[in-house]
Amino acid sequence: MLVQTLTAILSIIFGILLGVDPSKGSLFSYYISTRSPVLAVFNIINFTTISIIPALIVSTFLISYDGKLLLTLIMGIIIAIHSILKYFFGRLFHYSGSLKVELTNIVKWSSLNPLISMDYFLLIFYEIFWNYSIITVYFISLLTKSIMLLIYKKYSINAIKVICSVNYDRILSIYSLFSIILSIASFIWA
Amino acid sequence: MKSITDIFKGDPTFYPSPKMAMKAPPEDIIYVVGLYVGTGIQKPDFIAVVDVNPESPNYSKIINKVEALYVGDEFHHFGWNSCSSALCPNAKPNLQRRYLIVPGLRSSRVYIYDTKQDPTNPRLVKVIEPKEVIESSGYTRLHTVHCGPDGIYISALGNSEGEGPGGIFILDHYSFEPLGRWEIDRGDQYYAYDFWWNLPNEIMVTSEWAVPNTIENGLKLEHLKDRYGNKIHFWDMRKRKKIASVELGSENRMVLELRPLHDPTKLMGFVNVVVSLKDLSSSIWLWFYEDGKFQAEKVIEIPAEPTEGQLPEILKPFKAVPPLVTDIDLSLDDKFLYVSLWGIGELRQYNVSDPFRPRLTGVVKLGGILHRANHPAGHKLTGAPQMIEISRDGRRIYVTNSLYSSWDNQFYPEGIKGWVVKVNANPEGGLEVDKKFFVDFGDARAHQVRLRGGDASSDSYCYP
Repeated sequence: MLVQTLTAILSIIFGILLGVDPSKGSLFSYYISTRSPVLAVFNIINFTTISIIPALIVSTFLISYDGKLLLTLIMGIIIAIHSILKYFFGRLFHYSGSLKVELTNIVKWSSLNPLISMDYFLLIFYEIFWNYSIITVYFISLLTKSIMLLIYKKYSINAIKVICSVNYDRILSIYSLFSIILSIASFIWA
Repeated sequence: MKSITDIFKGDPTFYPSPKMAMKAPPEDIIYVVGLYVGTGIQKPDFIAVVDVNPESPNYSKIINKVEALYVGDEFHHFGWNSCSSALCPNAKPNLQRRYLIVPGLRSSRVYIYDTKQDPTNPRLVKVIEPKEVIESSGYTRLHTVHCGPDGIYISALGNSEGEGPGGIFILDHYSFEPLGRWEIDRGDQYYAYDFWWNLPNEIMVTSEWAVPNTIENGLKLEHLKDRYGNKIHFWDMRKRKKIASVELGSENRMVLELRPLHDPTKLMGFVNVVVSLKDLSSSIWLWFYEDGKFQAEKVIEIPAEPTEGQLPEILKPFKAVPPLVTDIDLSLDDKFLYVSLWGIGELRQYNVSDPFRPRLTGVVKLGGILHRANHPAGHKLTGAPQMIEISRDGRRIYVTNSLYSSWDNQFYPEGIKGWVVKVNANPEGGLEVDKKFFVDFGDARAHQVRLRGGDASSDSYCYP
């Protein structure tokens, strides 16, 4: 129970972080919203779905897998090494593809970056501990991105400046490391 | 020692959109390149650090000079290693506006200065020798520097023999190693000068001056007919391929500064043409994408002024002073275009809210072959307004007076003593020279200005 509760909390926080990080969909949507608000909302759904749901598909194949514990350990080590490298060498693990705001690029962007930055891995890692983790991250992230777009559009353009003044790469790398250690520790403890 | 908040903070001078950048705090210091090339004084060029905080006791004074290692580099344009383009979705993360990238226009050497530890005392951290630039790209005579989302872009006027084609090469954002030539398919592009871009549309635009062998020993009138460029080129930034060219009138020569609108949803911008062979006029053109193709339209024409008094040798046959529009700059809200008339001696402000119909809203007279106007505080002004830099809020315009060493000596044979003048801009339109601000460079000349934290020609934005 301890592990599930902890993973649920970690999933909610991760969903919020993915939603707030402007490079994970909300700024793209803000750009699109200058042309079409409907397309901007569609983009948020599209972006979030592509950047999260593939992890859910992969994890469904792993649910019945016998060597889950070993897999968890290996994934934990990979994510931990990745997080440490990412923290110290910010230029690593970043997809720098086309930024033309069109559907094919948004699909590429929202699928390759979660792969390179280990978001998919972390989601699967959470899912192994708690079966509703990915769905929780999906809805929390979707909700947060929508709120961010509303804030950008309706309340204050300065909010974007505040949001963009944070180095999310660093926050996410530390958060990934922290959640891996905490999850494994609580699993052993339980 | 970094604090916890520093670790998680991005660079506070990066702004996703130009509208937000306009709310940035006012600049406190500016960097200005000073040069001795062409003055007869054998000293290295330098970066001057000028205090521009009106509350400071050092207001309007050079508070430090950082010299180059060699004599004869000819510092000209320079730029930051990183800027607001780092917030574009495909940019490299964890960059800071920290290093000044200063190329020598004559030497093709690149100096990298670190401004982080002490912004008033930039520290030289790397020198890229001309040999390295040639080996990696084949280019020489380095001009414009722009901080791109994926590297530092530098334009070059020509090759190692002083001929064309000129083009662009890239430095690595982190190590500053030259990565090589940018163009993959340049088509018939031969002349080079300035470049800029519209990032979300992945379109680069480049302009044409001439090859080094044509310009380095001064302007020769017989070269004007066919050895100076009159086109702008449009490039697919992803494929690094030229996709279109537009000629700006067969009679026009020297297409220089490119100023795309800062709002990235608008694929258009301004460019200045220095001289018309027909009547010596200068013009400003608006380039834009419409009906599936790139087009350009002349939106401002400034005629030459007839006179016979105090003309330099090169202008005596014409009995007129050409305006010589050699720099333009666009405010971050895309509302005002500033134009320097280096021949006549004026800085003009045009309201370009409707970019197809600019309206003249302000003029100040400074130096010039025609006006010979002094500073309102009584300082004698040699040369005339040339490089322009606009503060992010659009309220302050910094102007210097040198164009290019060998051409300075032809148009102002009495000599140019470098200066920086500040002009205050009314947000509703109108200009006024700041009487309390005059920076005297003595025997050195002053060219480009960069504002600490960014300015109107340093940063590119991905969001409107």
